[in-house]
Amino acid sequence: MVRFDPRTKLLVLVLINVVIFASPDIRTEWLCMGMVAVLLLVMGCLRQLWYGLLIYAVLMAVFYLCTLADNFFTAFVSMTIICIRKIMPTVFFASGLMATTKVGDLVSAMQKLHIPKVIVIPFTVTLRFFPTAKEEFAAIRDAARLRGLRFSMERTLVPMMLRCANIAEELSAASVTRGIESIGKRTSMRELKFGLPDAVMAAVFLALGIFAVMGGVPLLYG
Amino acid sequence: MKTDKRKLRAKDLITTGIFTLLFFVVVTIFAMLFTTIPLLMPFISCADAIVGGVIFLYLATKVRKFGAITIMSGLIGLVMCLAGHFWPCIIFGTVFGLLADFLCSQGGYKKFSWNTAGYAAMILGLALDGYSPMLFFEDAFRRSRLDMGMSAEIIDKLIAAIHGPLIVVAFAGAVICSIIGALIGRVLLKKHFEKAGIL
Repeated sequence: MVRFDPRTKLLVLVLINVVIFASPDIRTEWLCMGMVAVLLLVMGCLRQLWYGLLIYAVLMAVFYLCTLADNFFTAFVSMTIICIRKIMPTVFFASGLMATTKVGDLVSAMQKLHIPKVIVIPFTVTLRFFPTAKEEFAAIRDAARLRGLRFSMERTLVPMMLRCANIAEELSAASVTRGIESIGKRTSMRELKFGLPDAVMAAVFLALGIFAVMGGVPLLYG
Repeated sequence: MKTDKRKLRAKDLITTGIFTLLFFVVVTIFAMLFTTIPLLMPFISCADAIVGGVIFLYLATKVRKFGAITIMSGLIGLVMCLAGHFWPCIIFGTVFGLLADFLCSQGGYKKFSWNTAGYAAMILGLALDGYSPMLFFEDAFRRSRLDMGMSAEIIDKLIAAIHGPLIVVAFAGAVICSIIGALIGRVLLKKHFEKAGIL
């Protein structure tokens, strides 16, 4: 299991986006997915790896089924699938990123990049809060079911917001206790250093990015 | 040192981050739903506006300092960009976020009329994210949608419609829906949050 610097991971995240944005055909996207899969394997995120590959395989299967028939319904479904397919590599990598990066490391990395606190804190919170938000939503849904209440916007949104307000209070208290407001330079237990794995990973994905922009797989195989 | 009450403290930044995420989830759900029906695409912001009103009003009245709204709008733009939308959305998000923040500050972040104006500004920023590819970057938009599998006629129809009166309708709709959303937000806030003692 190789450990990468969070800054490299952020760079790769941006590069994956560039690749998907610039990719002229689906084979380049497959190449990207494949490389992200290898990366996740190297980082040791096996669970995210299997989940992601499974979802992607199902997506591809349904997509090809849709191309067989040609009616309104299949067009509908295939368009939704294409939307999901386009964000899959990013989400795939992000799941691996979030699983391997400790919040503290991410904050340290961003501070080393001299990003102001005003951006670092909300951004980190938004990322870290995503899984928590999913859990809260599941809890609210279960509670509503327990009372036999039917689904409604108000009944979902308001409890979510109340829970979020609470969590915001608790999280702020915890963070302030850990010195998030101190002016001095932030120290961390783990040294963030660039190593050989970072250089390799950055170079590989940079190459992929340039490859995609220049024309991707069609360049080689037409 | 910490007596400057207008400075954004860690608590405010964390609250901003959490509620920005909520808003972003709302936006994404409607975006994914509406993109499947091409005709509804210009009206994504309208749906966002109605549902997101609570979230926006809550953040404005809870933090009450300059910068929170700007960060919210800018962050949404940033995350949208990272997730694959057009890159100008960061710029629009920050600029319209600043405008929204300014408008809200005119009412001390408590007066409903100014907060609604700010909300409308932010929603307009989001709406612009959706339309600007079609307005200014026609070719890239055409290519990306063709790649997505949309038929050429629908794309042409969309672009033609956007250049015509539809865009005025869409923008007007966004503003109207943001007012509706703010009103709904105020009702919800009064009904639930004041009772719970959070506001």
